[in-house]
Amino acid sequence: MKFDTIIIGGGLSGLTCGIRLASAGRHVAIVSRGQSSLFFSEGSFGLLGFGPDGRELAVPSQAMAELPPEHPYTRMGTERVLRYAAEAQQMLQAAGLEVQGSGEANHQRTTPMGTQMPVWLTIGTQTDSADKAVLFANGRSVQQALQRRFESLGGTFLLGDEVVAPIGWDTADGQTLLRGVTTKNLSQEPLEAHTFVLAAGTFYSGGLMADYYRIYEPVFGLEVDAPASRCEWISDEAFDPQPFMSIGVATDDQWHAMRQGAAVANLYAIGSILGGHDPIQMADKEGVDMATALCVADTILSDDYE
Amino acid sequence: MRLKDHYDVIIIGGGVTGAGTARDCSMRGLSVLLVERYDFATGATGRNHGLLHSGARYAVTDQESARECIRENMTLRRIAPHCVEQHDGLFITLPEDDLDYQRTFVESCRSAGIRADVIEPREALLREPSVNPDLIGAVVVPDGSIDPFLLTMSNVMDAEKYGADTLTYHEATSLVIRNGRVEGVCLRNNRTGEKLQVRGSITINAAGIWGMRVAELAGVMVNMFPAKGSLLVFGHRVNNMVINRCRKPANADILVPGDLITVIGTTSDRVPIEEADDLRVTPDEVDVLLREGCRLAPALATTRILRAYAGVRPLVASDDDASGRSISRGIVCLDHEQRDGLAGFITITGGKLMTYRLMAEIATDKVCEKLHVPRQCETASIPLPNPKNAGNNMAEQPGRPHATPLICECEGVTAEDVERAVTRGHATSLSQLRRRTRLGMGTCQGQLCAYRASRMLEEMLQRTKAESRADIMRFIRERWKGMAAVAWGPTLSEAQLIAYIYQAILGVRELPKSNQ
Repeated sequence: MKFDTIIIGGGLSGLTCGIRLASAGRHVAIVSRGQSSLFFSEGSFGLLGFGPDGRELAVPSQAMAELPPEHPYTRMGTERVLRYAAEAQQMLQAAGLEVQGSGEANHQRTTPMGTQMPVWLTIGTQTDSADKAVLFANGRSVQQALQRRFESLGGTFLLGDEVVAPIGWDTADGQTLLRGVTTKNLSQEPLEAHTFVLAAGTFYSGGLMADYYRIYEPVFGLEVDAPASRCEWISDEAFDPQPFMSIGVATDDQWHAMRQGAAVANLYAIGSILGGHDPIQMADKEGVDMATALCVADTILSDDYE
Repeated sequence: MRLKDHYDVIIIGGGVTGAGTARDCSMRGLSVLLVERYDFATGATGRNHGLLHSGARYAVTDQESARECIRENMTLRRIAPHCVEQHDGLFITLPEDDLDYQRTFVESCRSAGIRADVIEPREALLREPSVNPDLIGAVVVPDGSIDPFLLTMSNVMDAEKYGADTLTYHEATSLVIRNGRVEGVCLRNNRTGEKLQVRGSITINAAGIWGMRVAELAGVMVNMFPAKGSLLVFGHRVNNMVINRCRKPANADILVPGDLITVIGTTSDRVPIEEADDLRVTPDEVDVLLREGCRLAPALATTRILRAYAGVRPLVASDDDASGRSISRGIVCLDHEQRDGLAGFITITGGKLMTYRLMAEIATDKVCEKLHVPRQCETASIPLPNPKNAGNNMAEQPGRPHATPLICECEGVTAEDVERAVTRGHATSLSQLRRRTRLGMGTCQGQLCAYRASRMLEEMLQRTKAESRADIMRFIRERWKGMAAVAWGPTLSEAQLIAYIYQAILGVRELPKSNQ
C-alpha cells in the first residue's frame, strides 16, 4: 500500500499532523497501537504553564523567549508557536469539540485533588472536576473526535496495528531515505510513502524504550539524546524534575530524525518523542504535541514532490 | 483510646518482635501498652525476604540459630497458617561451587534437626523448572515463605483481644528514671506533636536497630551494628520453591517466591544508624543482586523488576567486643538491672523474623520472673487469628466473586478490604493500607489504586483534600524511591505514567513558585 504520508502513532500529535495533511488533500495513513497518552489528558491542554524557573505563568508567551535552546518552541520561535496554538484550537473546534481558553493567556483548572493548574485549553464540559471518581472520560472523547475528523477527511486509521521495522533505506544524492515499513498485521504488505512522521510518544507509549544498558528508539534505531548512565535518567525524589522526561530522539532543525549520524530526509519526529523539555515541570505537553505536528505538516506540504 | 494510669509492661517498637511480645505478655495476664513511632512493621520486619527459614542456611556456621529456626518454622506453620506458604526450598550447587560442601551442609542440617534430602539435578529441574539448569547438586529443605505484615497484624490484633493497648505514631523521646529504675516513657505523637507520659513497671526495648537509640535514652550502651540488606522484587512469581546457593552464606543467594512475586536478596553492608531512616538501594547493589540472582534462576535476566528496597538488621556484638568481630545473629535479651544496674528495663534484640516468637517468649519470661507472675508461655500452641476474617461475614473463599468493587487490581484489594483495614486495622493513610492489604504493592505500584483508595479514606476519615494530597505524596515518594533504583524497561514507563497522572492530571505536586 502506498500513501503520501504515513504517521506512526495515533495520539494527539499524530492526529493533528494527519488532520492537517488530509485537509490539504494528502493521502495519509496513521498506524496506531491503541490508547495513547491523550486518553489520560482529561481534556485539559497545556501550552506553557510554568517558566523554566518554575514560576507559574499567566501568559505563556511571557517565558517563551527564556526557554533553553533545546526546547522545541525555541526552534520555532514565539510568534510561530502562538500561530500554531491558534490553528490547533481551530482544528479542535472543527472536530466538533467544545473548547475554552486561548494561547494568549492561561486560565485555571481545578484538579480532582483540589489544586489549581494553569491551562491553555479546556475541552468538553468539566463538570464538578473537584470530586470526580471516574477519570479520563474527557481524554477519550477528544481522541475519538479527532480520529473521526481525520477519517472524515479521507484519512486511513490503522487501529490496533504496530510498525515493526523499516523495509529498507535508500541513499540518493547523499540523502538517506526511508523506503517503507512493515507492520504487525500487514507483514506481507509493506506500507510505502513519500514521507513518514514518527509520533510514537515516549516510554509509556513505546516510542522510546530503556533497558539495563541504554535508552533507544526501537523501530528505526534512531539516535536518542540521553545520558549514557542509567543513574542519570531518574531522580529518586518523585516530585523533583526527572531527567528522563526530557529525553527524546535527536533531530535536525527541520525535525528530521537522525540515524547513524545523518538526518533521514523523509522521516520527521513530532510530539512527545522529541526531547528538550519536561512536560510535567512546564505544563507544555499538548502545546508541543500540536505545534510540532503543525510545523512538520507545513514543511511536508511545502515540499511539492508531485 | 483511653490509656491506663499504669501498665505492667510498656513495649517500645511495633515490629514483629514488639507485637509478638505484646501478645505473649497480654496472654499471660499482664497489662500491656505497645508504642510505635510510625506504623506497625515499618522497620526491618517489613523489609526482608519474607522467608520462612528452615534454618539450613545457618546449619554449617551456627547450629544454635539453625535449631531455633527449624523449631520456630514448624511452630509458625502450626499457629499462623494464614501467613505461611509451604513449598520447600532447594540448596543448589553450581559448577563454580564446591560439591564437597554439600556433604558438610547435609550433615549439619541433620544434626540441627532439619530435614535435608539430596536429589538429582534432573529431579530438581522437574520440581523447580526455573532453577539454573547448570546445577550439579541439589538438596531439598523445609523452607517456605511468610507474610511479615500479616504476621505482625495478627499478633497486634490478638494482643488487643487479650486487652493490650497499642499506640502507633508515638515515639519515645525520653524515659522516666527514678532511683535507678525506669518507671515510664515520655512519648511524642508524631502526627500532632502532642506530648504525653505513660507509666509502667517494666519497659521493653524492642525497637530493632533503633533500639540502640532507645538504650541511649536509658543511659545504657548496647553495641549494635546496623547491617543494610538490599533486595529486588520481580513482577511475577518466577519460582515455586525457595532457591538458595549451597555454599557459605554470601550476597544475593536466596530467591524467595511469595504471593504473586519473587524476591532476590540480600546484600550486607554496615551503614551508619542515621541512614537507617532513609535507605536507598545503590546501583552497585542492584548489579550484584541481578548478577547473582540470574545464577539461581536465569529467567530473572528478562523478568521485570518492580522495585528495590532495603532493611537494616539489628546485629549485636558481645559486650566485651568493641570491634564487632564476634557479631552474632542470635537472640540477645539484656536485663539492664543485672547488666547496668538499671531496674525495670529490658532490651530484646538480635534474632530474626523467624525467631520473633521465641524472642517474645524470652522477653516475657524475664518480665514474669521480675513481676513474679507464674504463667507459662502459650504462644507456641494457641493459633494466631487471621485479621482478614475479623468481623467479616464475607471471608475470602476461593472462587467466590468479589461483592464490592476492586480498588487495587494488581493485588485484588476490594473496597471492603479497605474499609476493614480502616475500621479494624487502625489504617489512616495509604501506606498503612498498603501494609494491611498489600494495596499498591503490585505491578502498577499504586498508579491507579492510590487515587481511588485516597477517596475512600477522605470519606471514611473526613479528611481534607490537602490532607489527601500530602498522604498521596508520601505514598508516591516511597514507591518512587524503590522504582528509581531499577528504572528501566516497563518500570521506567510505569514511573512516567505515575508522574503524569498524579502531577499533571490530578495536580498532586510541589506547589509552584508564586509569580514574582
